[in-house]
Amino acid sequence: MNILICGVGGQGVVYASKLLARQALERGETVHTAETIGMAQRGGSVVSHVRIGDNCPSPLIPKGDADVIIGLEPGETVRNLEYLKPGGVIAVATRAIPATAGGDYDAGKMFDYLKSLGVELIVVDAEEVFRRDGSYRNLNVEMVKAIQHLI
Amino acid sequence: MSVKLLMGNEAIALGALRAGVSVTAGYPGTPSTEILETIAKERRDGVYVEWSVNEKAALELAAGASYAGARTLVTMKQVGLNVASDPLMSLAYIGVKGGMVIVVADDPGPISSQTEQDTRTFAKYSKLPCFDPSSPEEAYEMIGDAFELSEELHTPVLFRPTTRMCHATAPIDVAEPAFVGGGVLNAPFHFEKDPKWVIFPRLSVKNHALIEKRNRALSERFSDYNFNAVEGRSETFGIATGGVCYAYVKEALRRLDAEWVKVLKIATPFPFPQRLALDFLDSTECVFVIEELDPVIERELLYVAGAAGRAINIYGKEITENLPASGEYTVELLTEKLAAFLGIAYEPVGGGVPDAPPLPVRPPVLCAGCPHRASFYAVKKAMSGKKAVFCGDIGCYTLGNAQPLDMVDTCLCMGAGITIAQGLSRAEPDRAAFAFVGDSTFFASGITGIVNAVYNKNDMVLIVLDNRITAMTGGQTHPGIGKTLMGEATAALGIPAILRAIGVEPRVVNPLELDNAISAVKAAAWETGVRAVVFEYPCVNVAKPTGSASVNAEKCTGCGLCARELGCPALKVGDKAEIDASLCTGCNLCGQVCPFDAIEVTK
Repeated sequence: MNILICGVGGQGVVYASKLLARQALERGETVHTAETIGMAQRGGSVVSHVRIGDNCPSPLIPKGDADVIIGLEPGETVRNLEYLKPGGVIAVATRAIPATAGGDYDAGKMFDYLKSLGVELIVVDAEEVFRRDGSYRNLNVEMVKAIQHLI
Repeated sequence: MSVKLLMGNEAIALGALRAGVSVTAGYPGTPSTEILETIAKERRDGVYVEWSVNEKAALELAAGASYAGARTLVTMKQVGLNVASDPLMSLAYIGVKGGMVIVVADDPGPISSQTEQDTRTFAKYSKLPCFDPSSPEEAYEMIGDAFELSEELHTPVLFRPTTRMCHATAPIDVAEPAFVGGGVLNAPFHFEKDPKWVIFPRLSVKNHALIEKRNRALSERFSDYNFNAVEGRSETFGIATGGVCYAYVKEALRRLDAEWVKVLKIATPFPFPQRLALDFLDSTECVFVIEELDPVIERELLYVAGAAGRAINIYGKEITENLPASGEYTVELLTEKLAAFLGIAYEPVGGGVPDAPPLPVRPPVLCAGCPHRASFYAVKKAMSGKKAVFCGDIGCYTLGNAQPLDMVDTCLCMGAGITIAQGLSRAEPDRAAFAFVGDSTFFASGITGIVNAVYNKNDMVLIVLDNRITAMTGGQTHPGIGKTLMGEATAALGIPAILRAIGVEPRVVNPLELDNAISAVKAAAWETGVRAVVFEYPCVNVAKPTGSASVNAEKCTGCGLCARELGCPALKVGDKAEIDASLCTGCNLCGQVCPFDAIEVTK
């Protein structure tokens, strides 16, 4: 099973991949992960690849092979859509993070687009996490919880 | 045995500790940095680890320890080997006593490097054996083999992972005990005086002959090395590959349902396992060579086939141009290329995201509150309207080239900005030549350039961006910090004191005090000779935020000057300026730029 986690630096993408990997290891499964961070510091795009099961030689998930995309941010989710397998599931958080190059982008349009794809969409309300915790810090954990039934 | 999830770099470190390494040294550089950090964390008493001042120092220190019989590990990124190449080339002739493994991490892409140089080519040039692991699991085992071989043949050995392998995580059976021998406290080492440690032309010519003979024998021996292998059963199609591309090829073949194809995996690109390669060539009709960066395996196969007089079709990147000559390869690319090679119908995947709304652009930027932003801005304001050129260097502050700061006109390699500025000044004397250098780069290779400027009376303005850390690679210590990688307190070398000793009286300024900073730069620019401004303020990743800024909506006119001038990621301007409190550190640079005093900082 291939799970791609994407978001913005500082959102805890790598931590979410560690959680999923640890779970898989506890279930006795083989698991590999890889991060593509590049030069991104806080605020840059971050992607983590989690590959559960044997016979996954490449550290990175090939495009079109992700069973699940966990998107901590709607724009980053759309950016990584080509990784999704036909019939794959998307879990996406509601909160948009503005572009570093200045200015907002229209998260509503991202959701309209995601809905238009006709794929199974699990929407996680980031504001609910904020109301509960007073911060978005645990959004990554909520996202991992939201896809537990798929693993 | 216990299974642990280890990053490739952690696997290399634990493998080296298990192999009994005693002295370890390196210089930070993506993607190699975590190796020494893991050694520092996991080492037992008696294992020495240091961040050396640069890669040359690391390699020479390790050479000394190896002369005395200790097993040593040196780590660096690929461009670091350029710095260490002087001792490397000579050490190849002199050799070592204790096993010495030099881990040089290559960066196809390049993802965070200046070049796409290939350490396998460097191995051939320096005539040193080279291991090329294809996965973290393999690296953990292979580094032990590298130490054994090094000690047996008395030669340094190169070990060459690439970014995807360094930063991939895999479940690894960590062997017990975690340490076998090793540690200067546990094994008394002793340097035996002997003329063989002194390089002289007569010794060199003798050793050169021995090295060539050894490498021929090693090629034969590597043909039986277990990590060099031929898999699959096809008698028509063969693929030759190595490193992380082996993993990509396996994945691509699985996707194409073509796991029957014969695969030659090269784990020791130098000396090349020629007998194994010839057997492989003799058992196939056409071969596709798949490797990132230089066509190392491709050329070796052509050589082996030619020398043996075999007529065989060898496809690759160089002569037949079946693959890109540069850049990183992916499973997607290789699946497509392999499908064409094997004559299998395949619909390529990943054609982008059609019809998607415009995506947010997230280029790498200096962090909110980064003191470098203030330093660049101060120099920009001070030199506004004047003829000046700004030489950058290697570090976070290379990002000063981005808009709106646009303050990096050149960037080449570690420390080069300082000497390039001198050359520009010689060629174009009526233009002020500035050089920006970070604290870690100053120590690594900046000081000699400043000595050069003083000695030769070259004209330049040196701007030291001292943020008290090696920030770009994730916060490593350096000689100015006062702490070693072993965690011990040590002398903190002051950059102003070093400059004074060289004969340059620096102005030392807090860059976040904007008016002072601009005045200091203006004053330095007016003078002639070698002038220096040292901007001192800690990196936001090591210093606690001093507060948080907010916008007084009554005073803010929404003019947007703050965001336009500074490009701080915490600033956004709609009708009014907005400050993202989760990013803001309260540096108050924007407060000093705002003409309406509309930005207030609460401590």
